[in-house]
Order: sequence, then C-alpha cells, then structure tokens
Amino acid sequence: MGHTSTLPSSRPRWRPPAWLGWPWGVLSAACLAVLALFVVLPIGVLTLNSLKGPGGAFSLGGFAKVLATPEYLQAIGNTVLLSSAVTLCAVALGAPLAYLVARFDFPGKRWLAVLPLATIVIPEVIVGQSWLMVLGNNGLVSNALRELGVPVPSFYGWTGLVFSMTLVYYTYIYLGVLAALRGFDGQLEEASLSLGATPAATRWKVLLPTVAPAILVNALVVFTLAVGNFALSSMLGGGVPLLSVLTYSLFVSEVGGDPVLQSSLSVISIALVAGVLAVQKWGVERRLVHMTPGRAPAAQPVHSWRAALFAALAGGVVALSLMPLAAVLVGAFTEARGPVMHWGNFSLRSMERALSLAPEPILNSLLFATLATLAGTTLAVAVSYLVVKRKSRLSGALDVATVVPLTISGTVLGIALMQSFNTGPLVLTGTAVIMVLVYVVRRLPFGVRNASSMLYNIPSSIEEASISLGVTPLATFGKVVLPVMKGSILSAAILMWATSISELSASIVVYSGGLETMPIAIFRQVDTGRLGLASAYGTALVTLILVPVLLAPRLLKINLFSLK
Amino acid sequence: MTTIRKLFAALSFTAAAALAAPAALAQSVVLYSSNNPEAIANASSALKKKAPKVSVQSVTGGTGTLMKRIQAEAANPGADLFWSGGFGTLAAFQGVMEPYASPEAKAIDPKFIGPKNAYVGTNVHVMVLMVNERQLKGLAMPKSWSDLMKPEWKGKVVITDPARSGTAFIQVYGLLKQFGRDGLERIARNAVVVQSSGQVYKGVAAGEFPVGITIESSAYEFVAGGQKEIKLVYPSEGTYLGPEGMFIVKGAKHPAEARQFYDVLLAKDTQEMLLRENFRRPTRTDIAVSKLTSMPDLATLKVFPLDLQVATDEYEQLIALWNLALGKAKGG
Repeated sequence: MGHTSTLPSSRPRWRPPAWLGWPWGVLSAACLAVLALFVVLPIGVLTLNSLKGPGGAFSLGGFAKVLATPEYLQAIGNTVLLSSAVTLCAVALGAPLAYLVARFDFPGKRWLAVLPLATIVIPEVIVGQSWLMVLGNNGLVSNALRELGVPVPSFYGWTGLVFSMTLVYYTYIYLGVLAALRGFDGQLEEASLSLGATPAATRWKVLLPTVAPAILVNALVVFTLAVGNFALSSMLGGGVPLLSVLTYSLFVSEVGGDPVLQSSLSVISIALVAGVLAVQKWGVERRLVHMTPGRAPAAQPVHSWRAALFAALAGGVVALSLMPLAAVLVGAFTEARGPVMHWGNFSLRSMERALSLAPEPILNSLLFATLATLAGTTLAVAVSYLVVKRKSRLSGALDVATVVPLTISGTVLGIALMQSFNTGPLVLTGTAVIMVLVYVVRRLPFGVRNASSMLYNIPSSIEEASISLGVTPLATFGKVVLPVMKGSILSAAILMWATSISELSASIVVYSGGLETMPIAIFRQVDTGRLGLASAYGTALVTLILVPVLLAPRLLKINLFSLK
Repeated sequence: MTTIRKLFAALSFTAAAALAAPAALAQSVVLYSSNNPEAIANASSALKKKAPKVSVQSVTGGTGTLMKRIQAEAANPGADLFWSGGFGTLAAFQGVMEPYASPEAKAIDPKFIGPKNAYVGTNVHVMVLMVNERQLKGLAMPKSWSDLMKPEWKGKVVITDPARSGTAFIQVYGLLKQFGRDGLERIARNAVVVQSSGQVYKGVAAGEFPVGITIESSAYEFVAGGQKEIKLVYPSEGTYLGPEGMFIVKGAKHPAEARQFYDVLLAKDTQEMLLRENFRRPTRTDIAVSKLTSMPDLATLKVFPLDLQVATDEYEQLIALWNLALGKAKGG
C-alpha cells in the first residue's frame, strides 16, 4: 500500500508500450488491422463454415463428404499431380534458358527480353482461348493436320493443361534464375576449376547450389499459381476434375444454399499450399547456401552449329510464348458467324461489335485496377518498410500476414470474401469495393516482395542522418526513403496494375450486375463458344495493358522486370 | 518523387473520371439472364431504341444458379427482371415473382402464359439431334430417337446430365414418357454424359462426337454460321418442347423499367430480331418462323406432348431412374 502512495497523485496518462508508439507502432497496428479484416477474418469465416453441420452445430460432415466422394478425392489428387508436373516442366524449361542467356551470346538473344512481357502480362483467359483456337478440336493447326491425315490427339485434359501452364509459368523460373546467375561470383567457379575440378563437376557442385535458392523459391510460386489456376483449368481441363474448377462450380450452384461443402474444399486447397510453403520455409530454406553477389563471368560468344542451335532453342520458346498473342490478333480480325470461325476470311465485324459492347467492362477494369494499384502500392510500401526497417513484434506479425494471401487461390479468396461481407456489419458484395479488394489482396505478396528487395539495399544510415538533423521520422520517410525507392515503387505499381487488370478467378466469383470486367466478359464469350468476339475483346484488353507497360519504362526511366 | 506524384495524380484522375461515368446513367434495370451475351446485347439494344435513357446491367449464370440467387436475395432484391428459364423451373419459383399483364401478351399463345400472369413465355426450345456428318464415318444419318438406341451408336451420342440442365431434363423426361424405362436404358447404354449443355453442341461442332441431343437454337447457330457438316434432325417419333419464360422479380428496385423491358422483349420486332439473330423460336402467334429462317414452322413439326408441371414434380424420380439406367449400362 505504501508503495503506491509514493507515486504522484496526478497519475500519468496511459502510455502505449514502445512497440505501439507513434508513428511506426501505430502504423504497424493499422496495417495489421487492415490485413486482419480482409485476409485473416475471411479465412476464419471460411474455416468456421466448413465445420458447420446441419443447424449450425460443430461437425466434420463437410470434410467427411469430401473424403467419401471419389470425384473430390480425384480432384485433389489431380491438382497436386498437375501442379507438380507444371512446376517440374517450368523448371526444366526456365532454368536452362536462363543459363543459356546468362552465359552465352548468340544471334537473336535480345529478342528474349520480350518474354516476360509476353507471358506475365497477357491474361490467362486469352492464353487459354488462343490455344483452343490453335490446337483445340476445331483449331487451326489441328484441322490442318487432320486434312493431311495426321491423327490429332485431344488437346483437352492433361496435354493442354501441362502444356499451356508450363508456357505461362516458366517465366517466373527464368527471371529468378537469370537474376541469380547474374549475381553469381565468377571467382568461385575459377577457384573450383583451378583446384582441378572438371567443368561439369564445377557446374554441379558450385553453380547449382548457389542457383538452387532462386529455383526453389520461384518453383514454389509456380506451384501455388498452378494450384489456384482457374482460367486455363476450366477452359482446357476437359474431363480432368481439378480443385479450383470444382470449388467454383460448387460455389455457383450453391449460392444461397448450404456453403459447407464449398468451404471444406476451399480449406483443403489452402491447407495444400500452406503445407508446401511450410516445407519450403522450415525444411529447405535453412539448408540453402547464401552468398554475397559478385561479378558474374561474361557471356561467351558461340559460333557455327552451336549458335544456330541456341538461337533455334531460344527462338522456339519466344515463338511459342508469343503464339497466344498472334492467335488472338488473327482471331479478332477473322470473319466469325456466331460460333463458327471462317479462317482465312478477314472482317472487322467482331472488332466493331466488341468495341460497341466494351465500354462498360473496359471502364470497370480500368477503375478497379487503378484503385487497387493506388491502395495496394501504398499498403505494400508501408508494410515492407515496417517489416524491413522497423522491426518489432507487430511488424513480425505483419510479415506473416502478407504471406497468407499466397496460400489462397483466387476462387477461394472470392468465396471467403463473399461469405464474410455478404451480410453483417460490413456489406461489400455488389459494390466496386469488393472488386478492388480482391485485386489488392491477391497482388499484395508480390508487391511487398518487390518493395522489400529494394529496401534491403537502402542503408539505414541515410535515414539516421536525416533524423539526427531534426527531421521527424515520418518526414524523413517521405523525403529520404521514398525518393530512393521511386523506381521500384513505380515498377511494382505498373506490374500490380497490369496483373490486376487481367485477374479472373476471384473477380468472377464476387462480381455482380454492372461490375463486369474485361476478363470476365472474355470468359463469358469463350464459354458460349464465341471465339471471334472473345478475340476482339482480348485484343482490346491486351492493347490496354501493353500501352502503359511498354511506354512507362521509357517515359519514367525504370526497369520493369529487374526486381523479379 | 515528383514523377510518382504526377503518376498517382494521373491515376487518381482516371479513377475519378471512371467513377463519375456510371453515375450519370441514373435509370437502369438489372437483368439476371441465362442467355448468351449476344442475345442479351440484342435485347438491350432493343430496349435502347424504345427507352434510350435506361441502361441494362446484366448478371449471367445458369438458370438454377440465378433462381437460387433471386430467392436468397428476396429480402433485398438485386435483380429486376429474369430472362429466361424453362417453364418447369419457373413454376417452382412463383413466390419470387411479381405478376404483370403485359399489353403485348395478347399475341402470345395462351399455353405459354404462366398462372396468374406470374411469368410469360418468350421463346420455345425444340429438342433436336445435332449431327456432325464428317464424324458419322459410315453410320447412316439418324432419323429418330429409336435410331440412337441401336447398338452401333454406343459411345457416339452425347447428352447433358439432366441434373445439371433444364433442357436436358426435358429430353430425358420425354424419352422416359415416350419409350418407357426400356428406351431410357437403351439410350443410356449408348450415351456419353457431359456436365454442361455447352459441351454437347461445342463437342459435336468440334468433331468430338457425331451426334448430340440438344436444343434447336444452339445447334442452328452452327448451321447459320456456315459449318457445312452440321445437320439438324427433328426425330420422326416426335420432338419435345421446352418453353422458356421471364418474370419481374418481386420487390424489384426499378419496377417501371422492368415492365418496360418486359414489354420490349415480347414485342413483335424484338421477337423477330431474336429469331433472326439468335434463332429463338418465338411464342407469338403472328410470326412465321420459316419465312425468316430455314427452320421449320412449329405447326409442321411432330411434337410429343409433355406436362412440364408434372415433370417438375417427378424430378427426383427421373434423376434416380436415369442414374439407375446409366449404372446398368456400365454394369452390362
């Protein structure tokens, strides 16, 4: 008692603990609150719904039903198999290509620079649609081959799925490995060779372990993207049941009905990716070699047959990657009567028709992607600054929370947000907010990764200098840190914009009247067999995306893909 | 920093401009529709001619999905008008409908008007065999339902799962009523079952299957589009009809606009346009189908009559019988 009486009578106001102090603690708390509301809460609601029995009591009935239905079990198995196959194929294609590009000079090499543009920026709906037009049952190439008497196997199913996804996702491996190879210290290789190791052994024992982290990290990204893939899966899947497509069709046939089954499937899909992420984090990451970047050996010029071979290999990959774009362009200007394409006859009708119908979806796409980019970039920069430069208990939690969206496929995110914000205190369904929200949440992990990689390279001393000169921490952030990060913020924003504008899997779940976007419009056209109109829409969409992506690097003097 | 500010200012301006644009279109009507985007676009342009200020916002999906959604939204309706669903389905959802006696309904055959004007027929689906001649490979062109029951058609007839599609339900129900369980089992023995009606007509057009059981309007699109190997066969024992209708949603937020759209969709010029461009067989009695297309007039077709109200009541039974028939086909 006497103890307290010694305290001054004017008891001090409650003071927040240091980790909640102004400005960084408060900002961390604010960011965390946003993520808790829009990422953690929806997953919680989804999980609760998956555990509901009839009458709302706790039950494992949903999961029991999944495990007892052969179609669902098959879909889970197929999804794991497909994602693994795509990941392996993407590594097999992307890693050697990166090695060729990093180490050798051959004719036509600079054309490879367009690859990331072609594959990351072209929406998957368009990729799927164009492969159908080329290799589908009634496709250009398949028909031509059939005329020649060559039997053509069906493109629907495993062939089409693995083929098309590999050609989209290998770019992630290619860019990652290329960056690693360019940062690889050539002296290590020289040391190994001078100690008597053969070139082959050197490649195996020195080069591979140092490139491995890049391969593994990006392979994981490819795996999660393949698990969540909806556009290609539903267009080319044929008779192969897959988790994302099945979850979507359960959702559309169960709106207003019992959401237990769709929630159970969603939770399983989250668990699948989270499991793989965990294995990577705790099983693989700690065994990897980390090294400081050095000077990479110069690319060797190659001649004669080797030059021809390398050029042909690289050219083939470029040609295949650009094929979707070409097919869509040709399709847009080909005469289409209803669902029938008259190849070889050109017409402007599809384009005219698309442009007269398109203004609404184009405006919607522009609006949602732009708002999402503004919100998403701001959040990503704030979060990565807090995580990288202002480490605290809260920012540690932030770090974890921003990875969570990676485990949620688009379809599942859409379902979770619909379940969380359809009723209750915060109703967002039917408004533009929910469209913007799915874009922001889906692209946040990539935005944070881009911003953080830049922040690690900014020494803290410049900030300390500014603060010691009497500038407040927030003003220092605005006047010192932001200008240094300018380039990386801009390129992250442009990539976020371009990938948001092509988002389909989550937006098709949450959209409602008046909120249709271009990818949704294209998906609807393909679904009803209108490939001509779909191509015309696709051409409009690709133009819309490519103009800023091609112009921005020149106008703003930034390097879009350097951060990948 | 200034570059970022400029860029973000430009982006914000774009966003504001885009936000302002839809706000200018105050008068709107929300259409829930199971029709393809072209038919919806045609219907919207017909409305635009008569009511230029009203903009149409459409949400598309399968009939079942949308009906459940309308039911779920009953307290706070998102839709004003639904167009179009099979009569069997519509009969089961009369609780969400706002009856309306349109002046245009006088020209509609009374058998295509729902009880108490709750809904009205907009078009009639005719069930056909869609044949890809190139894929027949020596088989004779089928003429009837019974032709498809012959053993040589095993694995060559594609049909939609009746549990997933209203029109497929009518096809299978008709086969049961006309040919009994035995006929159903013989069809099941030859059938390849797919999960959406689109897979039937797209599959036949693409050459995956020689014959599909589907609706006239979907199959005819390929004939009209100029795909020469596609032929339509109206089965000689009689075809089945699937009338489709629309209704105004009870508590619709834009009732006046919904009624306007309803009248427009029933008007003679709209029905003629939807026939010419989307091959929707009209419910009006004053339009001659064979004059505007190469499809036959309904009066010249042999029709096996079905009571769709009864069919809806026997839904569970039919699905069970069909699955039994499929199971038997697999076993034997």
